Amino acid sequence: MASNGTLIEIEDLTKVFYTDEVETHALSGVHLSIARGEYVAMSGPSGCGKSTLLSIMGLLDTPTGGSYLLNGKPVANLSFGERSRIRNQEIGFIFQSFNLIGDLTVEENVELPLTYRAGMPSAERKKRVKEALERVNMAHRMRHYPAQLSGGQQQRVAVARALAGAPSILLADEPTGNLDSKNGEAVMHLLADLHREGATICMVTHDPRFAKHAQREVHLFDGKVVSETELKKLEEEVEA
Amino acid sequence: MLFHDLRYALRQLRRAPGFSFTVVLTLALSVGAATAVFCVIDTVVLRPLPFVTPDQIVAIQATARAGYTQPASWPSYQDETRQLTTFSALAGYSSFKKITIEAPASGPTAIDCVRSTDNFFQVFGVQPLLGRTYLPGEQLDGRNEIVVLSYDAWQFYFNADRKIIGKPVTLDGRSFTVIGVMPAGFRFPLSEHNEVYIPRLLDESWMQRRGAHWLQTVGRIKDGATVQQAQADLTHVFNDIGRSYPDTDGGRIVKPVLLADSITAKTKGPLWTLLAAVLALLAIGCVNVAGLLLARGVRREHEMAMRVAIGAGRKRLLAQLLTEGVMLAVLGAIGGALLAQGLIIAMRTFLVHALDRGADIRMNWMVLLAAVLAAVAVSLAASLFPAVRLSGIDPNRALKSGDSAGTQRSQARLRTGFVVTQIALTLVLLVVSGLLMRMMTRYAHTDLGFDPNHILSVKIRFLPFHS
Repeated sequence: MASNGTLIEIEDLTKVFYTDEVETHALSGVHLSIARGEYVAMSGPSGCGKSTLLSIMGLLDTPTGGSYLLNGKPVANLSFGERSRIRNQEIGFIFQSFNLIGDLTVEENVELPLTYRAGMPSAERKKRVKEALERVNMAHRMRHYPAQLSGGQQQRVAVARALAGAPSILLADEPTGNLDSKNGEAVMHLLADLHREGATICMVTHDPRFAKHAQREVHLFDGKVVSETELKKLEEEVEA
Repeated sequence: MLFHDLRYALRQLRRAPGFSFTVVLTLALSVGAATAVFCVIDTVVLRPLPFVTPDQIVAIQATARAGYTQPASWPSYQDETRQLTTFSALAGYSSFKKITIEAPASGPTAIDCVRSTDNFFQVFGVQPLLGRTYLPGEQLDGRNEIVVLSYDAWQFYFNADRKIIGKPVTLDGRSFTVIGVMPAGFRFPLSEHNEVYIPRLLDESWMQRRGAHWLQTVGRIKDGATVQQAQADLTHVFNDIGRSYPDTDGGRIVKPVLLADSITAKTKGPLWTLLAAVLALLAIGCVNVAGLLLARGVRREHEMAMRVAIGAGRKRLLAQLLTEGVMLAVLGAIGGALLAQGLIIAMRTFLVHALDRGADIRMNWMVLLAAVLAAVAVSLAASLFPAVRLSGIDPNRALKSGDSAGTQRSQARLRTGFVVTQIALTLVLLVVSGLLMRMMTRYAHTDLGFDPNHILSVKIRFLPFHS
């Protein structure tokens, strides 16, 4: 899929956590840009800051410093309400633990983000939900509750929920982490298909097999983006 | 969106039946008990008496030299009415003796009967619903075989016959003519119901004895006169009578007591204490509901974080959580209203003779409305804190914290606060309950002045009979 402009532009991003007088530098000057239609995998050892970076990209968290442009607009320091609105309209989330709401049916789970979108008629919501569920082959389970589905099926529903709002980017945090290898592969194929159809995807994974599905792999180490060569060298130093 | 929230709130309640039942029951018990007790207080203490200008009506309370309550004798009553200048009417009455009625709707039945002087209704100023009340001179023999029915007696014994006026009715085997029917709500003494009124006092032999003190008196103070002036007037007249008849009337002390005060004197204290207990119960209920909603809020942190993550705004989450709170409140209020109605019916049945206006206890719709609003307010207030907290939840932190959600220090402090409040309120409730128990024990162990052991009291009444 050809790139047609930059969707995400991150410059010198930092994130520091303060707990009981201890400063933890989760991100230390990250530079990253993602083009529209690109499929990026972020990998790195545990604690390297990849999930923190994804949370900031998804406006679930705010950076301590640096700049973040989404669709050319600065979004690093927006209000709670503004961030909610942008998450709802521009970002689709796929979590490791699916995070479906147990009291809602599959259909209602997928419809949920659309109900938070002001002015969308019910008929339009239903149409989008149906299309999204058909896209992930889960339309036949519309009336089921999450507890009645397997892990793989739940993740497909989560993908449908992320897709239904037609977001600018899908952010996936270890989407195969809670799945067996067969279901994990199936979800990876689904993401690959979505990418082929034009979706922009940024996925966090620590599994190199799944990272290979992406167009580009971004390596993080100690809160910084490093090249693959640098990563190997740093890992060797740590092991030594 | 409201429909969506309502549907989801209903489903939430259905999927957590234990939680929903506990909250609704707690609200229903608190609201129901508070409403019922407040309705009793409203009827007995707060509501004006059903008479014209009741603040001019006084009960004459006289005590003998020895200190016991002593009503008037017929001769002393006549002296009083002649000499008193601050009363527009002073009526004598007696209600201790029942009368047997033979009416179309029942067989012979012993009912309450108020025997009075012919100016009795003048004191209260209430116009009859049908017919008339007594005319001057109708207490005299030969003219006094007339009867005024209370509204309840008219309904029960005469099937609310609107043509009852002028018809005969047999009382204690003698024929009386019905001359009037009093409106609903009029009753005196206020503890009586289903009664009839006749202007026929006791036998002549009793009437002429100055030493026979059996006649209760109630009077209306003249327009412009005060209770203090009436007190001075009464004292002067009683002293004068006492000097004239020292053996029978000497040393009597008299006091005019506003009718409303005389009725509530014994019951006001216990009723307000009971209200305090019920309000403590209501407060405990509120804290319990708040605690339950808070605990539920902690359990739902993950869900709320998820909703925030996918774009729910703060207002939307607040609306959803408050809709759930309102739904619980509405169910609690319905339960409370039903419980209050049941309690009121039970109290009306069992407290008819225990409270002076026991038969008048009714659901006060304003009180019910206030209680429903209180339930909604309590539930909303209890929902508000978790709702505000959850609507501003940090989605990143909550989604990461998983099962550890709810262990934050602020939440622990809040839970401790709820527990401390509950313990404090429970202590208040215990203290109030202790006071009520002590009051009841005191009544149970009142010195009667005689040994009640091996003494039986028997009441024989004719039972109503229906063909």
